[in-house]
Amino acid sequence: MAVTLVISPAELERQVALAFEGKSYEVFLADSGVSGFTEESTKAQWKTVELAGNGYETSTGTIGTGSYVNGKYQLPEIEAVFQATDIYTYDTVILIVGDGLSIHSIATENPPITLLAGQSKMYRLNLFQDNA
Amino acid sequence: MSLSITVTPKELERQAELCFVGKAYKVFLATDPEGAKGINSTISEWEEVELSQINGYQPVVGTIGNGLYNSAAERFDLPTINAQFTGTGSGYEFDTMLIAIEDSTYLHSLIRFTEPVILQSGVSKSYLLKLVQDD
Repeated sequence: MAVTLVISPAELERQVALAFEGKSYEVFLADSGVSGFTEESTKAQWKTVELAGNGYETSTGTIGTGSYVNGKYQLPEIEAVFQATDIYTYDTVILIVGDGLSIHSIATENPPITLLAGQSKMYRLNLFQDNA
Repeated sequence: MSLSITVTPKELERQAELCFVGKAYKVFLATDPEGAKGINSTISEWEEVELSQINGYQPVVGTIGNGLYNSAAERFDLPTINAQFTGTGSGYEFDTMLIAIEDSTYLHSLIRFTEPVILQSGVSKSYLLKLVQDD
């Protein structure tokens, strides 16, 4: 006898509404250097190696309302743009969701990225909830 | 050049705590032989074809407990829900099992059986339902 299990689109929407929609977000750049920080390190730890100066600014906002598309509940894209007025280098992009102590995710650049004066870099972050 | 992204264990825990921990659940059985209802039907609509609470049938209700990060599987595991059903008297049969969480309008999920499951008097069946949050 076969058994078929289906998670409802409304359940994905319920999860997204609780975990993401209307929550603040923060995308910041860090130079992990010799910090030894990992995905298990706290937001406060990562903040100690966040970039400062030379045109760098943290990207912040509020996560909007999503919609169910192609089997997953897709949230509006987060567009994080970083500009340099003088040179800076980073190797980690960190996403914070909500006001908790932990981080949502880290993206590691290898090799590190260097932005020269007048250059900018954009990251498009797609958050979605699916049943995979 | 490579960019590797990792969703953190703490993020999975954050999601699980907001979405599941401490929430009430109900696991119930229904008969829908014509497939008239579906995953987008409301819980109220499904309750119209829920089994009557006779011959031993009772929905399984409870509260979802605290979970743990499963580092081997790299996911956050909630406690397993043991949904046990027992037949008494003349027993009962069903073809669909449904899971509702908290006071949602819609189901969390449904499980359809291609053939009706029959629970005769004195026969029990347990379904171990695992809720996990992963990336």
